[in-house]
Amino acid sequence: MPKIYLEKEDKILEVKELLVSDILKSLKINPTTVLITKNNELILDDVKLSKEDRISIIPVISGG
Amino acid sequence: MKYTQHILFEKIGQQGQEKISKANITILGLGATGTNSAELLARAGVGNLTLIDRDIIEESNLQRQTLFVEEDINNPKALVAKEKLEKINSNIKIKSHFKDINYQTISILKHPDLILDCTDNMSTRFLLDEYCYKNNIPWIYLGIIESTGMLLKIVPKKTPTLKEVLKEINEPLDSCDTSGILNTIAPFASSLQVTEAIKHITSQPATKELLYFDIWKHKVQKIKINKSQNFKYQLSYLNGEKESKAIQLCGTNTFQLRGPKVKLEQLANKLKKIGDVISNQYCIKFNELIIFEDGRVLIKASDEKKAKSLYTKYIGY
Repeated sequence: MPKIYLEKEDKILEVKELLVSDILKSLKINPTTVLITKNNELILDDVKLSKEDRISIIPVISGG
Repeated sequence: MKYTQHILFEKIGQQGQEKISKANITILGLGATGTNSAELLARAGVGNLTLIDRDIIEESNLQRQTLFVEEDINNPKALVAKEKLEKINSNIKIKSHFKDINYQTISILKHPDLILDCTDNMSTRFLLDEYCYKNNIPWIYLGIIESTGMLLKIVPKKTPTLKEVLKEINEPLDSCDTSGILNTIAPFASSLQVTEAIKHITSQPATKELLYFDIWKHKVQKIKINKSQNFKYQLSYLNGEKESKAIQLCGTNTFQLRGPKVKLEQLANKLKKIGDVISNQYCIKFNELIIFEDGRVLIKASDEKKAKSLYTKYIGY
């Protein structure tokens, strides 16, 4: 199962979904408020992961 | 003699320092990142600085906004910052504007060599992205919150724009006033931003990746971004279509602003940490604000600038 690193919570989860948009939906994360990275590269939420993949979910930062 | 150590640093040298002294940089926003970046640029000897901010200094700013001291409270950030920077470096030219930047006022940015984004909301950043895209001006996005930050240098037509990298955000993001901010993240983030600015001015290769950093975890991550093939750049903030407008309700000191839809329960829980909240399924009442789920907010304020400022402070985006 793909491993998901939640940057803000500093937590790793395993999920059964493979499509990034499905993963975000299952975690109740609004896709417009986060960046998704795989191997330090930005990916879109229409990407389908393999079971061995690991991605990070990073909140978009607005403060200043 | 003032810049001897920069000149000795081989990546800058005499030629680089001369370029810095002729440079023209605008800083949009003079909060935590803006004050730190402005001070570094002034000390570096950037010849022409323009400072823009709509807010006045509050006591809670002093924890991280390095140019300000207690006696500055209630004075405009842009004007006080100019005075302080002139004391740091009297050889540079500094202009300041105590002004809200929106689609009607953004032309005061004119055409500097570089713009540093030190704002605190995405709506102004998307407006800036469009202004810079249209006028071909490089700029550096910088956001910070808690102990984290995000930075990206954008060169229109050459690198992906902010609108290509981020999606159309349809929910308020956290603000420093609701999630908090560690004061050490601001000088760290500004150091990265100003380093990129100096590299730009001295015509050296920029960092192409988006930087994500967390000072608490001692982490700096470079994230590769690719220019999207099918992205068609369209203006929607610069023509006023998506500008968050403040409407003054007739005969009152109440302004109505509209933003993205709000998750009332989530926002109420955040605001409860900093003050008294009255909430029900329809709205939240907090200090001078009444917030509705559909994104409408009523704000009691002396003027439009103050109303927008309170919106960004407590709701985010």
